[in-house]
Amino acid sequence: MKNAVNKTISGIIEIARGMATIMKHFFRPSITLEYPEKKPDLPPRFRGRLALLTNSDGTDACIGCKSCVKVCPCVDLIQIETSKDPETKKIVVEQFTIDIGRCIFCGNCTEICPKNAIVSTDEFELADYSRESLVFDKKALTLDPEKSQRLRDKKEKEVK
Amino acid sequence: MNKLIENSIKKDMLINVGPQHPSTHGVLRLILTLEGEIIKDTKPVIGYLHRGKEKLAESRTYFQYLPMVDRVDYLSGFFYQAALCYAAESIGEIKVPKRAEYIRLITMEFNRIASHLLWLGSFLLDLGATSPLFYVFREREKIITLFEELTGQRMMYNFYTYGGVKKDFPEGWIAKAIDLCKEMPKLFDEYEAIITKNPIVLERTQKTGILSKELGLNYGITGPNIRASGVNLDLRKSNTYSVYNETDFKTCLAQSGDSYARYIVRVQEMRESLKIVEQALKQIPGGTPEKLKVKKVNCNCNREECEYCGFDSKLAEKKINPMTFKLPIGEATAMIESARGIIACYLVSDGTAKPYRIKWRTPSFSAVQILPELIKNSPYSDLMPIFGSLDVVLPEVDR
Repeated sequence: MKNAVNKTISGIIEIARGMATIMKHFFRPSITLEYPEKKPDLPPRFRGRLALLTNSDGTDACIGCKSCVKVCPCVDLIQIETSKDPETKKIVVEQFTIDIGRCIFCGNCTEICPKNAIVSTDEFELADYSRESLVFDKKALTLDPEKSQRLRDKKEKEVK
Repeated sequence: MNKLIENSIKKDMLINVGPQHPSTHGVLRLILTLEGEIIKDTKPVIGYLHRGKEKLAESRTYFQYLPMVDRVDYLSGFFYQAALCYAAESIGEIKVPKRAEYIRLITMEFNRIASHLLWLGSFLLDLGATSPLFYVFREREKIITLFEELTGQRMMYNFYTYGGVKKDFPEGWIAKAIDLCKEMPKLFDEYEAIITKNPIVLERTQKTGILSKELGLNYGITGPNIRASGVNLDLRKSNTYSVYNETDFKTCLAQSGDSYARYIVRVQEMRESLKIVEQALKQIPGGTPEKLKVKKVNCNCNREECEYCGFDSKLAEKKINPMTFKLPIGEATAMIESARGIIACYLVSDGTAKPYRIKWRTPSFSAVQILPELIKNSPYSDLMPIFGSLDVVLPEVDR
């Protein structure tokens, strides 16, 4: 009997202590981010959708070495078609396709790229209605020179 | 009429729980034999999340396989990468600089806290308390944000590499981490005020799911689960791997082996992990990255043991080319203490660019197997508290 009374009293005290701790949260600032209206601040190292950069004169930064294909963990995720220009003997990148729907955003390709031509952007809202629309071809991946320069500057800043 | 009811109660009933049950922490299916409300027999059915991580390794190079390892256990990805890296480093005899080891230690211990926090929230959610889930997510978010700044992603880090780590801390990261270490213990006090002596929690977790020493050892239970039964098994102490021998911490033990003891051990472990992180942030060779950069430029001593330009202040021994990376012929096992127990990675190399065989030993696999023993002859309402207290992550079971 005495035990039961003691147990009840200590139980009430402990629940009151817990409730008081929970009540403290009424007076604290809110921590939620109202997501679709407000976007989170992304750090410079963030790995989002992949993109191809262009040089300042509008030519492709990619030289078609296919290093990214060799380090990519997903088989056939990056597909590159190249051809040799008969006059200048330079390699021309004809097709550059990435299936973003299968990409796991590991960042291996951006690390290996010798010209820093393939980079991760801040874009992370990639939901779509069909798988086909997630296959990005060269035109969709390539950024214009202005944006490319901005991304390059950001990357340099981070390396410093 | 009464007899009819009695007979129907006495009859065994088969009940199927899962695989899409919300409190099975993933996709676990349990086939229960009930007598009334008492569980007589349990059969866990696993394999719904099998992705063939071991077989995938055989068709991929070492660097292609590295990002996949994070997905074995999505709550503590750093540990799996560390286990694979240690195994490969012991075959290839690659030395790891001390600064890289410290960065690994700091990230692993933060990861342990984040994993335990999520366990705490989901465990209490199994008991019916919803508000602690939001509190633990608030704290976990701070750790995850630090990881995002450091590695670029919130859960699948792909940050370690063979012979070190990929990147140094960004500017101001260490200061933020120190601040977090200072404010965390107060928040743990808050959880303990809500949970530790709450009569409902005590009633539902004490003396339920008792795991005895012998049973635990026979089934190969490791980590906080076996430490809650009083077995002093902590690889960080007994089989030091990283730089744990340079930090001061104690192994958290409890004696009773019930669900409550497992809760107590995990909360204590989070506090100990914070202590390790605090010490490591102070002891890290070279100090903050900003200071290190300035000193490196001014220091031209070219000595191996120099604090600022020597081997120990580097991030990796030498830059490895992922396309030509090969390991010599050999085999190695690396064991580390993860948030859930002992992870072992057995790696066989045949001298080519691809591993010949990789075998993972995961702690959650053993924890699922012991569930039938723990919930035998207990009411159905105890199923989820006991299962939740074991901290099982299903992708780790099936891998």
